[in-house]
Amino acid sequence: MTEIISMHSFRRGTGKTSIALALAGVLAQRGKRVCLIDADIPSPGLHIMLGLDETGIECFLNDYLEDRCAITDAVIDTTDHLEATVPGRIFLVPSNPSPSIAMQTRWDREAADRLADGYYELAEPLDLDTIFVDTHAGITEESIAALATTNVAAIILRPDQQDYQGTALLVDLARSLNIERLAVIVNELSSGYDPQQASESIQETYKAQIVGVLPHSEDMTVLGVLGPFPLRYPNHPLTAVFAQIADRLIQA
Amino acid sequence: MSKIISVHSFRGGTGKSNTTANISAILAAKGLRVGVIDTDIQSPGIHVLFGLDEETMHHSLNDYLWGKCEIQDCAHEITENLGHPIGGKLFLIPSSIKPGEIARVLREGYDVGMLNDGLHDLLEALELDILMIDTHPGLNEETLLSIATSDALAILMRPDQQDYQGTSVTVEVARKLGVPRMVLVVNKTPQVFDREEIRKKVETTYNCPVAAVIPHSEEMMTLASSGIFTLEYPDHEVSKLYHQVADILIS
Repeated sequence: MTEIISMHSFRRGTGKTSIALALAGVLAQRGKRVCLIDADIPSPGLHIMLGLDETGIECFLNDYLEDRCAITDAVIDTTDHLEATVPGRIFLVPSNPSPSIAMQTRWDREAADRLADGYYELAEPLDLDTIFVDTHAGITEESIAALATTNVAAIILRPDQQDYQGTALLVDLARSLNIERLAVIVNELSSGYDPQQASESIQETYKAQIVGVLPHSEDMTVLGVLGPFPLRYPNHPLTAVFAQIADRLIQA
Repeated sequence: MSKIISVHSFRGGTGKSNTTANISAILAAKGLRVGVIDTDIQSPGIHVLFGLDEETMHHSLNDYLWGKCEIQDCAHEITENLGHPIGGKLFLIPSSIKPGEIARVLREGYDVGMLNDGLHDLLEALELDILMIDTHPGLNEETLLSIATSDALAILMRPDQQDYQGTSVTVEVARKLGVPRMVLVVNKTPQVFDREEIRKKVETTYNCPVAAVIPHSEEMMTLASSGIFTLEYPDHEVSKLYHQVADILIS
């Protein structure tokens, strides 16, 4: 059965999109067939991280949500563009980066229903193991649509005061939308802190499973974010944490 | 004086709230009357830096936008909260952190024109020298209006691929809106990067002055938005750069 995981964060800049891409990389390396859906309509970023030129793209998630095409028309197989060869596959359903289009895209009930249908319309023909749905940070139309339509929600936060309160709201919202599984990922932990301790204390705060603690590393910026990090840097310590998160997040 | 300064970024997570909070503290320390307004209604955060929470927040910007009060009623004088003696005054107009109220704004939207009028009312009612706007990231109706109203605009970005692309759109738009003074601030720069090189690259790419290239700082991360960095670490390199940006914005 295809596992559908939505990626959330209360605040922006927590690393949500990079992490979604990294996890897709880990899974593709294990031979899995993964699809990323960029549901961050206001500020899509997955196509940039995958080095795709949007001028060549004809059909975006926005078009599918507004019933102008099938979701399968909007899928791009990015596997052959990746830096490394992988036994699995990474597909992307991109969002239109044009600000005027993004502003016009409405998240009404129909759009949310189409999103939910879209998962299944992709899962079978592409024979997918996992779908990651990247959302727009905050309590937004995108995040609510995703929480309402996926089984598993991964919430990413940084150990920063501005994140804590809002993340609690997001956790409550996820629970009130009857999400089956909730997983928390802590990103950008400062080197002075013990990951184990941070994990325990945050687990206690949100009463949710912490599936990984990623230490702050300048390498993600310095080495460049083109393509899934684990594929470019298989021996980097961060890659080991991404692998661990994938193990804990993916049940199948 | 009476200036409106917007702090903006294309994407989030660039450090806008921390930058706004620090610059406002620096300006207040120079003896100015400074107001800070959090217009990031969907994801309010700057109040955290000033030690305000649900209990201490008597009114929020949301109350004004829903016609419940005058905008100056939403101002919280936070000069004392800084915990350091300063010559001027600092006021914060926060956005609501009650989930029901955030949800309501998402559902109903708000009158952007009313927000704009409110900015000018604030300048007058509180006799402000400076009003700093902590904006919502990205380009939308609200941010466009804030930018159009501003006397000075600081656009924050991180030196990464996504920010480079989005910032170029923002700079273009700001230019068309005729902001009198616009500067870029490159933030969270990895320590291994050559900052002078980054400055040159950004200045030529956008044809816009770079007020500062601020390095990533472990101390800032550790402070984790629990306070104002320039007050805690006044001699730190990052604090000096904040001073530099503040001076450029008001000159």
